[in-house]
Amino acid sequence: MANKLYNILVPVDFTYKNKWAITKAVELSNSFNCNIHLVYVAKKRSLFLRDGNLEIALKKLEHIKAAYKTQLCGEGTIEISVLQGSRLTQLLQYIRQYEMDLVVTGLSKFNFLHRIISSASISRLAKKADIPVLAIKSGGLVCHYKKIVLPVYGEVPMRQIRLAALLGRAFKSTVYFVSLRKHADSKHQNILDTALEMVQSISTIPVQSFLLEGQNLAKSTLEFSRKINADLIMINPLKDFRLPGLWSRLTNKLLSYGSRIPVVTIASPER
Amino acid sequence: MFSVVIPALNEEKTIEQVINFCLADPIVSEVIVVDDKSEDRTAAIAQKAGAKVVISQTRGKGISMKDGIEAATNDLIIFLDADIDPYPGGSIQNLAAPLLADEADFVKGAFARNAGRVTELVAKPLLAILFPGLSHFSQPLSGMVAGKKSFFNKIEFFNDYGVDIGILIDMYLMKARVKEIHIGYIENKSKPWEALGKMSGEVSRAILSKAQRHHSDELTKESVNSLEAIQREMNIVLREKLSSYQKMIIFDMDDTILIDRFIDKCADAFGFKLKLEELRFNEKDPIILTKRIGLLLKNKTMDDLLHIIGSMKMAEHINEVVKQYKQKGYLVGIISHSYTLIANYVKQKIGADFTLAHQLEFFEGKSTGEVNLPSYFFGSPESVCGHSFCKTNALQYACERYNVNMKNCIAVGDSRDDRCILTYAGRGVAFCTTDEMLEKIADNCIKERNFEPLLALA
Repeated sequence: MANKLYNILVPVDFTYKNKWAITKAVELSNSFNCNIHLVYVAKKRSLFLRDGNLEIALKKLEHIKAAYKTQLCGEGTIEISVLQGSRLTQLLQYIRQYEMDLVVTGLSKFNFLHRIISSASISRLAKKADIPVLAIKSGGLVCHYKKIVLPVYGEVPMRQIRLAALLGRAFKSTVYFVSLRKHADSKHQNILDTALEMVQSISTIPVQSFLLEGQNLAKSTLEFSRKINADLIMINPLKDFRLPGLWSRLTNKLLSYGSRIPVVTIASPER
Repeated sequence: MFSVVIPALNEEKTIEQVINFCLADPIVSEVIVVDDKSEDRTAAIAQKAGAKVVISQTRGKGISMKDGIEAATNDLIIFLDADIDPYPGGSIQNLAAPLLADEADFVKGAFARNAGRVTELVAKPLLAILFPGLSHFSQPLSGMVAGKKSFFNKIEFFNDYGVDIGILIDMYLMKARVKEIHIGYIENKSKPWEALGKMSGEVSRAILSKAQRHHSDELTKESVNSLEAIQREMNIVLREKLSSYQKMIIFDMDDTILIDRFIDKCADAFGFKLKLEELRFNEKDPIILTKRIGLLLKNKTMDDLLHIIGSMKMAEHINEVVKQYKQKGYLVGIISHSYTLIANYVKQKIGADFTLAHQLEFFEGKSTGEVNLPSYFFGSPESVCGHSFCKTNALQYACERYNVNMKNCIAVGDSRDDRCILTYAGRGVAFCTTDEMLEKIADNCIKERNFEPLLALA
């Protein structure tokens, strides 16, 4: 994972939720001087294409670019692209070709279809693209990441820790490691300690660790994050970060889909 | 009739053919070879071939040209390069024609060629801003020129790569009639990239000094500002863009390149093993620890220390790995919390490019025990990790100095000290480590004391 953010991808579909994602991307761009790439992927056989052409999409993107350009105060720029084909394939290709470091995507309140049908669902994108995917479910008023919550379960979340260190250094954040008390046997306690030591080894950001009550890590993390008024949650696209309940299990409802706090999903590296 | 002047330096392979080519032309009455103190047989061959040989007193093309002009008996002079063989047929006639027809006082020969990076990137942009009247010349740096002696006598010759452009500008400023003639295709050897920097500097210096001297009043603020802006922006962009092509590999020294730790070997040799262990156990601040360990080496001579490092073994295949990485365009460096004296010794042994380490002070060949910690190990507001004293800060310094993007760096280390640098380098390699966390942080782990697997990452 990169130690700096150079390029942020925002997939655009011209809905209201794009606004949240672009605003968040602009905040990050102003902090890291990175470029924002607004990409619209049109299906090859869509009605939209039959009626008009890609020029309309391009013009819309140009409007968006013009509107947000004034909000950029760093060295970053906004790039726009209209692609054609399968959404996931095109986005993955773009990510690899232009070396994207982060995807920021807006989520609607009712995102059932997105997580079930969308080829570019958060977990799929995070796994296939191998870069963090930040999901934004509301506009929000804060422009920083002062409190970052990082749930720990199973392995030490190296990539999340690296990103937390990167954001923490830029936003002077505090990282909160959380784990479930029911997992607090010697092995898991050890993982929490290792995670703490890891952060201290690679950065100087303040870290705290908490054991949470409850049976489901995603739910407890979400409750804890709301309680401390967290600005960001970092998770893995694993089943451990699914919200509880049969419906959530069936529809693969990751914490990202249920949280109003921005959630960044990072897949574990394949060794 | 024309005098042909050929400045030459170590051109024994081509000089005879060039002289024969000149003498074959009926308008040439004499060929003057100005030998720039060649170390080969250039002068002897030239004399034998029928040229008048003048030995230049000082090296440099400008002075050689001056010497040639003084020795010439005709008012019309042609300058040719000694290293071009063959010249296109009719080159001399083409250069001479405008002078004979009284259409020009100075003729610049241009030729189709295979390269011209300094011409395109330096000379032409500068001429376009400072001497727009010369911007139409396709090859302002060409050394094949012809002109009248009376004009040449009035101008000042630079004695470096700026000579040809200097003559052209002077002729232009003297209001001489200047013409460019195309003389055909010449296979010109491209200069090695190392020479291009020097050439660029000398050419731009020549153009700018002529501009300042001859029309300082006209050198408007706009020209100066635009030059500065172009140069600044180009530098920034070049630095930024080229950094993505540069690559670097950084090795830790103790327990990585070296099979043991240097200070442990010193402890064995000088008998301060217990003191060292005590220090390591009690002192947690890395800065104080480094300083206090340095004190253990007080009064030890440079020879003693070099003798110890000389007896230490290095990990297998390190030389091969360094050689191959260098062949693949990597810069190879050592970042160590040991001492520069030792790190430099290891650098020489393995053929690395640079070292960043601490400075153990010596007085009259003996260590004073003082250790100077270089500033690049210390954190700054720009530090990626924020640690106040860390190898990552040194890596960041090396990246800045050698214009390498940190994500194009490979860091190889073994200990707890290396956790941070392995995290922030583009690729971290844990080498025979006993630190579990380092293994987790690293992208790759090498378990055996052999650097060969590292070759797969190049």
